[in-house]
Amino acid sequence: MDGLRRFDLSLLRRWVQARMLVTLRTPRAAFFTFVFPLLLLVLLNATSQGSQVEVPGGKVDFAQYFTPSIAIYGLSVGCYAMPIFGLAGARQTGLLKRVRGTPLSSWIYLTSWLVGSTLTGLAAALLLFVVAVPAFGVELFPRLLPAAIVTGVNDMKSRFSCGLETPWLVVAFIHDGVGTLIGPPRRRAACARAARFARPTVLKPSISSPSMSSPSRSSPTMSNPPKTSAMSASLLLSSDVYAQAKAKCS
Amino acid sequence: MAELAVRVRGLRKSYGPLEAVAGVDLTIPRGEVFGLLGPNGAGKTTIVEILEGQRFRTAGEVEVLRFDPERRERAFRERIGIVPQQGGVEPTLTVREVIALYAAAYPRPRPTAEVIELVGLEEKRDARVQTLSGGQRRRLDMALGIAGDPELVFLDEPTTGFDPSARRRAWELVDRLRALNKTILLTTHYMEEAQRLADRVAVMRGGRIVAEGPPEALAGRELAAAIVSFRRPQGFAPDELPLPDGVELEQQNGRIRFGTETPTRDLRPLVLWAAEHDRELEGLTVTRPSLEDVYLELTDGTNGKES
Repeated sequence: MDGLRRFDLSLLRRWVQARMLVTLRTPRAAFFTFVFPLLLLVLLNATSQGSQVEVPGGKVDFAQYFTPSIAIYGLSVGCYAMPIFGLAGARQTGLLKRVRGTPLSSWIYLTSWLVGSTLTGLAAALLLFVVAVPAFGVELFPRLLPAAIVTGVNDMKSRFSCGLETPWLVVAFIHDGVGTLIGPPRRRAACARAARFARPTVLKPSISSPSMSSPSRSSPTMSNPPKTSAMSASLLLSSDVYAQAKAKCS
Repeated sequence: MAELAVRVRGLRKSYGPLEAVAGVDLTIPRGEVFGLLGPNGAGKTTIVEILEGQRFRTAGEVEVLRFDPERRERAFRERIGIVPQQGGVEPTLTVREVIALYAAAYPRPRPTAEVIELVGLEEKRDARVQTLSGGQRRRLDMALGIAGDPELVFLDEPTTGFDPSARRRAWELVDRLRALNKTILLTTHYMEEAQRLADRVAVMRGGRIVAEGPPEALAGRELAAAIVSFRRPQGFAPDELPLPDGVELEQQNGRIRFGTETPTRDLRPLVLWAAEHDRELEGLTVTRPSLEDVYLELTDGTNGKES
């Protein structure tokens, strides 16, 4: 059993590597995951240099507030758009059929998408901070980092689930993938279970789009805590004062 | 009796009111190259996909390498290799990377370099998949099908889009797999390919097998009348030639044609006559109905649906 697990893990590692390699070598995917967030960062900071954003408990610099939002955008592209387009394309081109003809388990294939997307998204976010910290004076608060990571991971998980739940894709994949494992009579039940499992994830407020609107309109109030991951991440990563304010609130 | 690689009894597959496979019985012994022929829509690919475990059957019994493919057990998938009609590949990976990636899922894969050499993609080993031509992509498909060193290989129209030399190489590859005692289930539209590769063929029409047997004997082909044809020697009328009695002569464009079940006996006087008169029987041919003739007759030259 251990041998089998080691074999599966080794396979997973290979497929994750391949997934990331495919992303890096696909110009469109690489642009929207790595380059576009950097462009946004530079453009927004160029147009709003020196301005401040009001958040609960005080004011923070524009770059301090928006950099995490843009990082979340990068994660979103990595964990939402990539699986949607990638898996749909894989089915369209017959890639899923080929994979299903090999001993590769469905869970390894799907997990390679999940892990590959997550790592790609994290790399994009990291790249953003590597640029933003020295170039725009963005500060990081190490004691808030764990909370920011949890928020980011939750966001990635939700977006990946959402990407998978795009209705036709789920039906197609359940029908083609899991369905064959459990037999025809139970296929419909599996679809229903999948829908029940996935829907609450989609409806979670934490996966709504990162707000790029005016900070004053999107800023949460003390009685109405932030609902989007983008804002949560922005506030957690950028604002020490927010943490203090939240502590007071609770 | 040889051990069976594939055993199918009463296989049916319906899509609503459409019956794509309408009661097929099939056995393929281990080590055999079996060709499944038929027009588009005859049900070939449906059968192949059911045997691969890619589709559910509506009814019937199916056993492949002693597994029920519908259960898609890992041990089963480790022992088969598939070359689907349209199988996608990660376009930005290189040939070597893709083969190594897919081969890694098998317990005893063939070395990547050996697979690349087998399908003749040595020069393209470091080329990205998206840069390959159609024929090269198909060769890569074949490479992925054999990368795991499977016991049973499904080749669904494997040489479609190949140029003649690539097709020859593909045939040589099938010969090498046969020499390794691999079982191969092949679907093809090329009769020459079926004739050259398959030990046995089955012709499908309207979801049913309408004929089955060795290519050279399909539907009594070996027993059918041979057609003798030659250009009429100048200056001689047909009734001046020592032609067999009672045959129905056809004359067209200066050629004489007749059918006979005893070509050796009937040709002897004709050849002796030509030698005595110092004449050459130009364009002399003796042919039996080709596999294609039999195929067209069996399938009525229609598409796969019953009319």
